[in-house]
Formats: sequence, structure tokens, C-alpha cells
Amino acid sequence: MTGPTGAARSSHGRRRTATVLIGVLAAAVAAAGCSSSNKTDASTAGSSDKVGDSVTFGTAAPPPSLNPATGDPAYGAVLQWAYDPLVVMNADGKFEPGLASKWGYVGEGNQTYEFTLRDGLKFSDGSPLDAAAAKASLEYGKAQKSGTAPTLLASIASIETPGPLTVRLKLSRPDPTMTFNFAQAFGGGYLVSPKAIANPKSLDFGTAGVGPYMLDAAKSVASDHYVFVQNPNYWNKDRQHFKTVTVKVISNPSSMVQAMQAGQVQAALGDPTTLAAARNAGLTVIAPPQAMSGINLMDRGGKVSKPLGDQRVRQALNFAVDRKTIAKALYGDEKLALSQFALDGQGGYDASLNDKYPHDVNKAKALLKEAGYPNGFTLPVVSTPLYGLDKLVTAIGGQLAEVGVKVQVQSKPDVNGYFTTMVSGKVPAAALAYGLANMGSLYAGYVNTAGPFNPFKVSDPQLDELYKQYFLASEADGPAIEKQINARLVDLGWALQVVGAPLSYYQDKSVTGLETATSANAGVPLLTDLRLAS
Amino acid sequence: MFRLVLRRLAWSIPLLFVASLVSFVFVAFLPGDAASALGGANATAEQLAAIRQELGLNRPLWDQYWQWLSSALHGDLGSSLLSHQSVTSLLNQRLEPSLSLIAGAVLLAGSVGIALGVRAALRGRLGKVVDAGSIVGLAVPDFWLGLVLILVFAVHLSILPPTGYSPLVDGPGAWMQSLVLPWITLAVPATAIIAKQTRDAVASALDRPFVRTLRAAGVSERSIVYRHALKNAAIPILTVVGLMFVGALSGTVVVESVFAIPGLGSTAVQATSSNDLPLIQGTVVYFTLIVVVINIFVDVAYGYFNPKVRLA
Repeated sequence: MTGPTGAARSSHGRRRTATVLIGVLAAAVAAAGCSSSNKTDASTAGSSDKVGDSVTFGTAAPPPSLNPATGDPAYGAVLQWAYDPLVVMNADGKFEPGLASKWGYVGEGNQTYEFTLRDGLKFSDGSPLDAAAAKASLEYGKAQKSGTAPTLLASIASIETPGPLTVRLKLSRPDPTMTFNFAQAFGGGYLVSPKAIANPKSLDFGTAGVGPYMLDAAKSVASDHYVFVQNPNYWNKDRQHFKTVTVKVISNPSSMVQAMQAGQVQAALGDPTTLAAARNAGLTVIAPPQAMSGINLMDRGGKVSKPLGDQRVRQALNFAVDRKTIAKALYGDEKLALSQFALDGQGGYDASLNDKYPHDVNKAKALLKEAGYPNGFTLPVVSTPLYGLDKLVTAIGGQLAEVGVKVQVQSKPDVNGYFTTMVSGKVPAAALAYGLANMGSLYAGYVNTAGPFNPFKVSDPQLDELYKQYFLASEADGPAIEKQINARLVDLGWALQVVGAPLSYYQDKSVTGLETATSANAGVPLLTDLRLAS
Repeated sequence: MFRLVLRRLAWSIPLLFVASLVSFVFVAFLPGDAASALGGANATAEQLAAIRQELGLNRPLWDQYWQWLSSALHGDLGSSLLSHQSVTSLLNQRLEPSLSLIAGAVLLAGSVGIALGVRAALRGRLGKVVDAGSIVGLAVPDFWLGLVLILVFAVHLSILPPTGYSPLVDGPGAWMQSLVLPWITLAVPATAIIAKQTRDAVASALDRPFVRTLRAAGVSERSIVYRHALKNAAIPILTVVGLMFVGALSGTVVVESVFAIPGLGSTAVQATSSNDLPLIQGTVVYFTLIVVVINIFVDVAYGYFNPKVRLA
């Protein structure tokens, strides 16, 4: 125990310590204020770089692995920088050469597909991209047990290489969607070098593609930021618009907009909940309709919910909803209202179908009465707050209540829970957000009795016949059949789609290039087109 | 004191076992599994079954847990089911951001809270301000506060970065810049509680008979407050600071999301949403160890301020 002098010294010391601590913090803030410039960037990717040398692209969801063969189109925001697609789908839905200079079906029936690679292409590890390497990569993707590649390449029965740069795919069934699958929206044609295939773990946090950039793993942190540097073996230097591209993961949509306002991020994937905020912040917003959103009336056979088994009931629900009001209220644009299975600009789109289900409460009530439900019924719907679906389902439920249909929402906070419940066959309806690309991709997950969005495995003979024709149709004849498929699905009322929810991108004034995202190319531009604005 | 630390460490072993077992069981009852996350929305039932087979997710739960526990006892926390990265190396990468965030926030909250609380104990009116402030501090959602701070300091004033984390090795200046706003966000509710607790504890200590004796003996008021009363009030204050440290761990989930900081909190959220069992178990182990270490520090501090604790 110290004496009074020591005690005074000791108490003075403790006060001084507290004062010093507070002073250090204040000094840190002051130092930060003095030393930082307007474009502050605390990410490890070169805070002092100008936009000309580097660009930061924001995305909300990091891929669990960078391996494109086990990936999902949702992670295109990260993968596209290192992997050019075989073909590029431009703003009006037409295809342009990517890594392939020629492509198309051979003969009739859409069962043989062939593409020819550009000459002289090399992977980022220096190995050549020829027909043999392309074959190995496609076989590798097809053999995976997870990810989208096995689904996209499922119809490939065998692969031949009739020439050094020519690859021929023999399909097990007619499949008219190969060219689309090889474009940037789905990324089925992300080719990986043979060296990487021999060491697949190298792809979990590394890249080995033919793209303008390649990953600098030393500067990257998984799930936080990915730094891409120029690929020295890339064939087209004119397409390398930046020395460095950083893909920054910011999961909170509001934080993303603020990061763009502060200049930390120059372009980003948008979010439906921040479209208005981004516009108000002076950002360029590119938001083409992309996903058919509403309620999926899955129990079309009436197994769990007898009313849904009646087409008149499903049609009544479609008449009961005021799509324009919901589109305006939730997305700020009544033009996003959707009542069919294709988007404006796509082959199967038919403007006349927009008048099939005008908002008519009396008509809805009459149909319900005719079907034997004059007082309505209860409709359980599994939903999730992700992508704003809970809000959408609640808005639809509010309007269905006017015709006596009570929507009972079971909200699952995570996508796993929502998905598992949706496919369980126990709930008759589910919140719906299904990316519309073409009738082939609609068949795969939605119409197909094995598809997860058709858990009650319902089929329709007329629809099956139309699809048989579609799979055999040439590219020129495809759109006409797609329109018929669209009309049949609308008539069946298999969905209560309300809006074409946009897939959105934000750009600040310093960059341009993402304006090519349209409904015609499923809302996915070639991200590597991003470049300085002037 | 050494025996105290050893006892605490010994207790941490059964604690780790219980925490890991409880989290394992809870995750097992969550809908879905890692196979759904890996397979994607278009995976067929056969594909999902094949993934489960490959990952061993179709084995009995007790077998899966035993497998994990056996490896963990050898220091191997396994690999992430989704990214295949070693759980240990993944979490070690994320330890620095989270510890920097939590330690800085608690230091800030402790310094400001104790200073405010002592002043409030001496000045009655300030006590009411502290009471009101503590309610506001607790009521303000940290999510909202973080976004407001970004708006003011990063967007409008442009003096601090809006998001991101700069590691210490890249320079202490950038490191501190990246943490100022997250520190403030995490510290506000803790400051409120510490200030209130300090005020009550110091006020209570100043009311005790020994203080009257000290005053009668002519000891200065400053010495009475800072050497005697504060020392006597230290135990409850330390308890609250320790609790705030643990509370800050869960607070990192929201703050790391708002400020895009790659820490343990955001990793826990990602792992849980994709049912990545080894990564979930790994974050539980890391969080439990951090709580154990915090409690050891608090107990050692108790011993410093209260000799009876040392002798117990």
C-alpha cells in the first residue's frame, strides 16, 4: 500500500491514461481527415490509384469458390473478368463472336452443335486454347456434381474435335439453347486450362481462363475483395481497359450506394431496394426487367390446395391483381408490370398477352364463384425476405384479399430454408423470382416435371407437344413457337407473375459500358466492356 | 493468480465441447444443408444426393460430430464444404479485423463511458443526461447509426472511407482510418451502459462511511474519487466492460456487414446461410475461445482490484 504521495501520483496517472486514450482517438480522426483525399479507399487495392489505372466493381455475394465449373451464373460479377464466354449476347439479343468465331447447329433437329475457336488463343497460364483443351474443359464441367455447368451441359452426349480449332457436340436430345448457354448470362462456356483441370484446387482461389484479367491471389481476400490484373496472354489488348480491376464484396445494399457516392466503388451490381436511392445519388442506373416475379402457383393438380387445381381459380387470381400499381409502388416503374412468361425484347414475347388479364375484381369473383369458391379460400405461400420477395407477396396478398383469397405467408429468412420448403411438395404456392432468358431455360427449371419449380410434377399435353416442336425448331422458327408456349402457359395460369423484377447495375460518371444490359440478353452485359467514360 | 488462470483455462475445455455440440445439433435441425447451397436452385434430387454422399452429409449425425471432434482435438477444424479452404486458415484471416474492431470499440466505450460516468456521479445534473443518453444509446440501432456515420463522414465530408478494412501491416494510419466509423458504431450502446454503471457504482461508493472518514482526514476530493471510490467501484464496472466485450462479438455481425469488413461475424453469417457445417463449428470454437480469454482477463483484473479474489 503506497503513502499519500504515491496515491496522488497514482490517481493522477490513471486520469492521464484516460486522457491520453481519448486524445489518441481524436488524433486518429484528425490525422485521417488531414491525410485522406476526396476519393478515400481503405480497401487494400491501391487507394491512391486513379480511375484510369484501376476500377472497383461492387458485388453483394461472393462465390464460395472461383472454379467456374462448380459455379453459378449469379457469380458472373466475379468470374467474367477472367473468363470470356464462347459467344457474346449483345443488347438486342443477337450473338457475336467471343472465344468462338463460328458456331451453330449442324443438320436438322438441333442434335449436333459445332463451334470453331479463334486462332492463337492462350489461357492466362500460357497454355494454348485449342479444340482438345476446349473438349477437356467441357467434359470437366459436365462431370461436376454441383453448380450450374452440369445442368447447362447435360444434353451433351459426346464431344469430337474434327479440326484443331473445331469442337463438335453430339447431343443426347434436341436442345436449341446451346448458343445461349455458352453466352455470358449463363457462362456455360467458361473454359478452364488443362493445367488447372489437373489441379482443381488451384481454381478455388485462382483463375485459369481466357479473359482480359486474371486473379492476383496475393492481393485478394476471399469473400471480401478480388484483385484482377491484366492477363499478359490475352489476345485483344484493346479490351483491357484497366490495369487493375478490384471486385469488392459489399453485402449491404445501402452501404454499396454510399460507397459509390464516396467514390470508393465506380460500378456495381444494383439491388431493387436501392434503385431510387441510386438515382437520387446521381448514379447511372441500368435496370432491365429480368426475373419473372410474383407467386408460383405450383399445386396445379390440386393435391394440397384443391382450389389451385382448377384453371378458373388460377385465372381468377390473375384477374384480381393490379400489376401496374404494385410495380409502381415497389419498384418505382409501372412499366415493369408483367403478366406473361417472356420479357419485351425476347423471342417469345407477345404484347397482346398483356391484355389477357386486366385488373378486374368482378371478373375474378365471378370465376371463383363459377369454380365453387364464392367466399374465396386460404392460400399458404412460402416466401423469403431476399430480393424483396416478402414485400411483393404481401402486396399481392393485400389485393387477393379483395376477392376473398387469404394469403398465408410462411417466410424463411435464408434461401436454403425457402428452397427446401418450396420443393417439399407440402406448400401449394411459393414466392417466385425466375430469370427469364428463353423458353428452354424456362422448361429446365419451371415446366419440366423434374424441375425444382414444378415440385408437384404437373404436366400439360398441349404444352409438351409445343415443347417437342420447340426443341426441334431452327433458330429462325424458334420465336414463333416460343410465343405459342408463352400463350399456353398464360392461359393455364401456372403463375401469378406480377413484375419483371430488374437485374440492375449502377455506374458513376467516370465509367461506362454496362448500358448493354437488356432483357434480350437476360440482363447480363459483358462486364469487361466497362471502361472510362471519356 | 496463476492458479486462477489455470482453473479458467481448464474450464474452457468442457465449455468448448458443450458449445460445439450444441451448435452442431442446432445446425442439424436447420432446413436444408450445404448440398442445396452447392447444388444451386436447379439441382436435381439425384445431384443433391451425390453431393451429400461426397461430403459425408448422409452419415449419422453422431458419426459426423465424432469425425469433426476427433480432427478438432488434433488441431484440424476441417475444410469449408463450399470453398474447400482450411477452416483454420480462413478464420485466422478474419481474426485480425474482428479483434481490431472489438478491442478498439471496447477501449473507446470504456474510456468515454468511465469518464462520463465519473463526472455524472459528481454532478447530479449530468447524471440525468447520462441516464437519458444511455436509453438513446441502447435504442439506436447500430445498423442505422453506421449508415448515418457513413453518410456524414464518408459521403458528405469525405474524411473517412465508407467501407472496407485495411490490415495493420499496410500501415497503422490506413488501419485506423478504416476502423474509426465502425468503432464509433459499435461503441455507442456500450458507452451508454458503461457510463450508467460507472455513475451508479461511483455514486454508491462515495456514499460509504469510509469516504466520510477520508474527507475528515483531509484527503483531497480528487484523490477520494479517482483513487478510492473508483477503485471500489471497479468490480461492477469491470463486469460490465467484460459483458460489453462479449456483446460486441455479436455486434460485429451487423457492423461488419454495414462496413464490409471481412471478419468473424460476417463469416458466421455466410457459413450459417449456406449450412457450411465445418465453418460454422470453427466460428463457434473461435468465438468461445475469445469469450474464455476475455473472461480470464476480467478475472485477473478483478484480482488486481480486489485482493480477496486473488486469495479465493
